[in-house]
Amino acid sequence: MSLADFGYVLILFSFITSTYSCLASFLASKLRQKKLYFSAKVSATNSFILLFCASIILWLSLFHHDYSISYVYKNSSLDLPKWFLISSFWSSLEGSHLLWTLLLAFFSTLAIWTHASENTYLMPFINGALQGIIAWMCYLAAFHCDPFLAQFPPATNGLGMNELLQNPYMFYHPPSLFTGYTALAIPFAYSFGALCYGDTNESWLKTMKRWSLFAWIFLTIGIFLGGRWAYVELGWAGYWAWDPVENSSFIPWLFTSSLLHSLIIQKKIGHLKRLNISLSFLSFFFSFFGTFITRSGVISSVHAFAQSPIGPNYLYFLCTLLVIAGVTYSFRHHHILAVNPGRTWKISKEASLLFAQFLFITFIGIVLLGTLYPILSEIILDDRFNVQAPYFNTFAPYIGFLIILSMTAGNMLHYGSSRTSGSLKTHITVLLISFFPTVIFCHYGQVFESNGMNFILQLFGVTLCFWSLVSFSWQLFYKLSKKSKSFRINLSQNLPSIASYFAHVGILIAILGFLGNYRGVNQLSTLNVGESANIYGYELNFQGIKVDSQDNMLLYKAPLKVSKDNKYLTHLYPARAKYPTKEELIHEIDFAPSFFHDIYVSLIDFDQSSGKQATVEIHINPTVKLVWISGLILVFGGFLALIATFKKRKSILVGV
Amino acid sequence: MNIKSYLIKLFCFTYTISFHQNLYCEDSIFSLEKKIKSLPEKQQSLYKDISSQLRCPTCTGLSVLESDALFSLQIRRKVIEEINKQKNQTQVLNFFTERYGPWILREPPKKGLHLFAWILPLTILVYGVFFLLYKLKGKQNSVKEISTQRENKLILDEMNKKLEELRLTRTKEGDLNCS
Repeated sequence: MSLADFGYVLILFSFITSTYSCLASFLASKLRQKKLYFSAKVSATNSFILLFCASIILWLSLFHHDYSISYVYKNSSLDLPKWFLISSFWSSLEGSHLLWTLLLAFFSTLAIWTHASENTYLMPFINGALQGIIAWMCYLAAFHCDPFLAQFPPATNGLGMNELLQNPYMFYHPPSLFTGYTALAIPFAYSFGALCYGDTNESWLKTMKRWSLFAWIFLTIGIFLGGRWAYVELGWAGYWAWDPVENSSFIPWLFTSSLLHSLIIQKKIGHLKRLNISLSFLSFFFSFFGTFITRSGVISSVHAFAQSPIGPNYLYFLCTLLVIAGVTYSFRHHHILAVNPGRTWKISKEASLLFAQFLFITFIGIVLLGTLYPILSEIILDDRFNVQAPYFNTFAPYIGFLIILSMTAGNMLHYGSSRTSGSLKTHITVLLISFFPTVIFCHYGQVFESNGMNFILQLFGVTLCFWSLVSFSWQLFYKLSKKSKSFRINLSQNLPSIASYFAHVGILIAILGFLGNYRGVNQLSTLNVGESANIYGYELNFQGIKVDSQDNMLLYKAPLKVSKDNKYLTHLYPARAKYPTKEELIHEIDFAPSFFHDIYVSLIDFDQSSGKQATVEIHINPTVKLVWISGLILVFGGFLALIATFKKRKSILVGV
Repeated sequence: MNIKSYLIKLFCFTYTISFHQNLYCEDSIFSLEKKIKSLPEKQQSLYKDISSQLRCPTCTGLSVLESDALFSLQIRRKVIEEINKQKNQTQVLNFFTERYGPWILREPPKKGLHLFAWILPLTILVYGVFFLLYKLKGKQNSVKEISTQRENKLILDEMNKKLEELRLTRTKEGDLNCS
């Protein structure tokens, strides 16, 4: 028996242990058997250990170039750098499915061993739900997309990893996104548990908040890394194209953001419990749904889906999930009651949070409609209609503006009262101050240079963003500068507010970046050695093609000396890369980031006989940098908020 | 540099040359760009408008204007040809829809059943706001109702009784104590 067979057996075993664990926990909750539940818990832990061993075996086979395994043969080759041998684990369907299962098993094991004493009554239901999902994932891994499938006869060299994935960002992007997706299973399980048990309590809320924050942070990291990858690797000078794969990661992100906000309402006033439960159901459901529509090929054509190995199985699973969640919800939701149902909402912080919920869900609806439109139109009209970026870009700015308005208003207001912090005078001052950065940004950012967007819309958006930014900063300053306490105590007590400040500022900066119309001026120029292209005050001097080798690829670099006003700035090396496993040349772009815009150059063509002529496409992309900065700020804010949930707070929780 | 890697490089270089020989011929991006530059300014912007509305058949999510794939270049060339025939935007787009089907467009046309996709988000956005306001106001009304109900002692007693029952069942369920 070879190592690969051993790995397959491990997956089979983990299928058995998770199935047992799932059944045993539901039985334990029915029979009220403590020991039976304990066995389920141990069995669940076992299934994680088994899956971990199976993954180690796949990694080992990748490292030792064991081409008797089909997956290794298809996704790696002898020339691949060690670094990418690790990431070739998730470069294709079978491996990424295994990674997903592994992460899910890890987080569910973590979830059932932590917070267990606070949520005793829920734990069997939580474990049952999680292990049910893992059992199904293992079943798929074992019978429909087996990573240990044999390759016969064994090859001497593999086919190689997809060249576009041989990029550091693709090393981190899938695991972080999968971490986010799989961590969403825990809030789902907790909500399921709450429905089965029939109530939510304080510790339920705390655990929900922690796990959804954790998932949100990793989803954010994953999405930003994905955008960055598209920017540096694909060579079309953009980072977000609203294509179905991107949308399917964006929808769970939106759901999780929405969930985080409605959890706050539950914490503060004890309302929206059912909304929280449905949102956590939906966020988990859509993380799977996204995988389904991208992996099954249903988005490219309804008919392609039957050919994919896991398409139909995913559909069965999604339907089962929907039915189980729906039935549980409809039979049990009347047990979940709001505290103090006779509460008035009026104009208050909670009302503006509720309004934000509505905007989030509307946005999700639009993105979903756009993503599924090709399928819907094929089913209804028998003709495929595409929905691409222009459709989404019609609605996205308005939703974004409304979200900014509601979050700024919400930040000013208090819970349960329509009084704003700060007098009319301060509001006017904030508005006046915000004009300065707006003017500076518009002048130096030169965001209006290209005509991609409606000018008035853009100007309004920028003004709104800065107004909100100043307002947020002022509110935080006001909170931190209370004189009765020392600054340090103030800081530690206001950690949640600081975290929320960073998260919201991150969003505002991201929106500023989007408004800057990232695809600005571009120009195509053909240069001989010594000739220069002039764009936007920059001078790019071409210095002849150079050949260079790096890791497993051969690079044809076109060095360009960038200078502005006869002052040398930097060198750019846009290139074409030749991989040993592929005949075509792959784009390797280069860009010089300055604060307000990137000079982004891709090598379109070059004279291959002499190396003395090259055609380059030069883009000036304004405000792209803001988007990357905003990603960092968002993640920082998220981590702060996560730390804040671990700090003991003296204030009494009201709405349990 | 050792001889082996040098040989590999040499091989790759000559190989790619033979493979990409015809890059500077008639249908390269270079000649296309020249054609565009020779157009008057008004037609240039028309060209940009039209080709940003047509999808690149071989990539995901990009328009033909943004993509340098061979197929996209062909479509862009065709767009210029059509513009040169003094056609306006809708005529050119119609030409492409007839030829490739509606699949070539990047967004659904604003007519017929497709209006649904355009109007639905707007409707939700506008009516949703009013609905939300109405609902929140409804909550205020229900407060008055509840407060009158609360004066009714009988109902209050009944509720207390129910609560007590609930509490009892909860403590029964509390048997399952496994951490």
